[in-house]
Amino acid sequence: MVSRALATQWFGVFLYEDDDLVDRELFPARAEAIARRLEAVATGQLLDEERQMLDGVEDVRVADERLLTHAATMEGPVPRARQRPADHDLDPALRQEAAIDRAEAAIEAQLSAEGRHLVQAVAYLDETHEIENRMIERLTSWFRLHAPALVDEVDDGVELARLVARHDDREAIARALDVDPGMGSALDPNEMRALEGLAASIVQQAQAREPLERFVTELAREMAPNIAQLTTPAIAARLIQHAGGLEELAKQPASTIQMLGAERAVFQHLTEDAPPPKHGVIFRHPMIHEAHPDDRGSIARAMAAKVAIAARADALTGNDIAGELEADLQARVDEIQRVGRRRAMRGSDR
Amino acid sequence: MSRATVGKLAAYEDAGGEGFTPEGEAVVYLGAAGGERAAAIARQATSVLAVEKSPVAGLRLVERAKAQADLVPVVGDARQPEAYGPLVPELGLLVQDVAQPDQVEIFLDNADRFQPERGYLAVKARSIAVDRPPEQVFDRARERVAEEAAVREIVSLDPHHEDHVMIVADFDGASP
Ligand SMILES: C[S@@+](CC[C@H](N)C(=O)[O-])C[C@H]1O[C@@H](n2cnc3c(N)ncnc32)[C@H](O)[C@@H]1O
Repeated sequence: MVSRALATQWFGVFLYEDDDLVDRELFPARAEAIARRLEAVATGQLLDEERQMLDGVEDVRVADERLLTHAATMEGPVPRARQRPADHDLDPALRQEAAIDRAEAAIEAQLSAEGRHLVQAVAYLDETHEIENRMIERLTSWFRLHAPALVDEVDDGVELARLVARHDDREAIARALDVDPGMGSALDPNEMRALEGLAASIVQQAQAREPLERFVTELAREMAPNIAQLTTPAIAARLIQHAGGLEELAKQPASTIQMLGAERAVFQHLTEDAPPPKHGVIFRHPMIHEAHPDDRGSIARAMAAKVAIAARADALTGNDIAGELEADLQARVDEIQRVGRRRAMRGSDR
Repeated sequence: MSRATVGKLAAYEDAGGEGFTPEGEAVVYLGAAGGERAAAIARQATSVLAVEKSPVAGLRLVERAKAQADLVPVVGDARQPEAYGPLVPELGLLVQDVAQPDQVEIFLDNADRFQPERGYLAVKARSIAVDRPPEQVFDRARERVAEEAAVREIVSLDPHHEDHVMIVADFDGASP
């Protein structure tokens, strides 16, 4: 019985019998045509050329899982890369050209896919935050009716939820905290179970947030290393989310970037006569919110200008320019603060 | 990324390793990042297929490849050698620097598929286990590689890369 094997190389599909080449199907000798086949292979598809070669033969050894979908194949050792392009009158340089085409398409697809994941994850992060806060408010105001002294003792909502979830009644919680349970109305057993259920949901919610937050910061650092370093990974993630993706963010002027995330405030300003918002997401950066109030606007403007440059590097070139940008920004901030102090000395109320 | 420091292969030679001689060989480099080091190897080798998972690093890798004919970029996961298999020529050397928990298995899977003559595996202890002493992690990695190949050397990359070793292994390379 002859022993058959099929091997796919970048320029064609080759069939061997007892180690001799017996059939070949070459790909069109154009980089895009080859790149398209490389994509099909990478996404687990059977190539037309492979199917043609497999139809009508039997018991063909293959190495790839995707080829096992064809009835004629079985798993087994396959001659590796035995053919050379020159043996088939092909220019070897096509290999690199096709690989570059394919890599560019893969980058494009992945970057925007990652952006979409990030947008969803950040939106969900905000939602869980909101739900958690609402549940904590409920737990606090409800449990306060029964044990005001205990609620006052614990200032972290999740911590309070942990205590309520873990202990059977307020006396047990009081013992755990080593405080007097104090006054408060008695607890119906069913009411206590309900409170425990609420508390358990809060604890669970808080736990679920940890991997989510890690995912968001790591993805932001990977997608946008320059923005993440210049600001923080969390701010980078939110800027990308508000812009709707890294590529979209890279298209925005600094003035827009400065306001990203302030949309709701802008809306309120227009409809409810609220004061105009000054800063969006980047306002969360310590460099801005720890600055003197008079300087914040200028610093936010300076930071937004650097973020715009960082976003273009992250989206377009992948160059690492965060160090330079940080140094430039720091110099600009020092300048702003020097001018601010001088103004203050001249007598304005600073 | 350790861009400013000595590369893993240079650190290995620095530490007295037998040496890395890509002249005239086809090379696969897994975990190429922006391709700085893969490009340097490509100047000596017949070609380097450089595999990098991160699309952001991939941007730099592709730019570099455009300027250098023998650097062939792949933006993909080294855990899926099927995806770039068609691009791999008859292989001389496999080099890997991916800093992943399953780095040893990734290396062996690729070697099994592409049958290089020799492989260079940079092992980062902390990627595999933070709670075990590095020596123990390295021993386990060496044992695992030895199940599939002949380990030639295991060289510490200190002081350039703390808690890293390079494992050099010979595969028999015979085609089926
Ligand atoms: C320590 S760095 C390599 C540095 C590079 N070899 C150099 O010397 O410049 C590790 C690289 O491996 C990449 N990587 C991690 N997991 C990978 C995987 N499964 N497949 C391919 N690349 C991976 C990372 O994105 C990162 O760029």
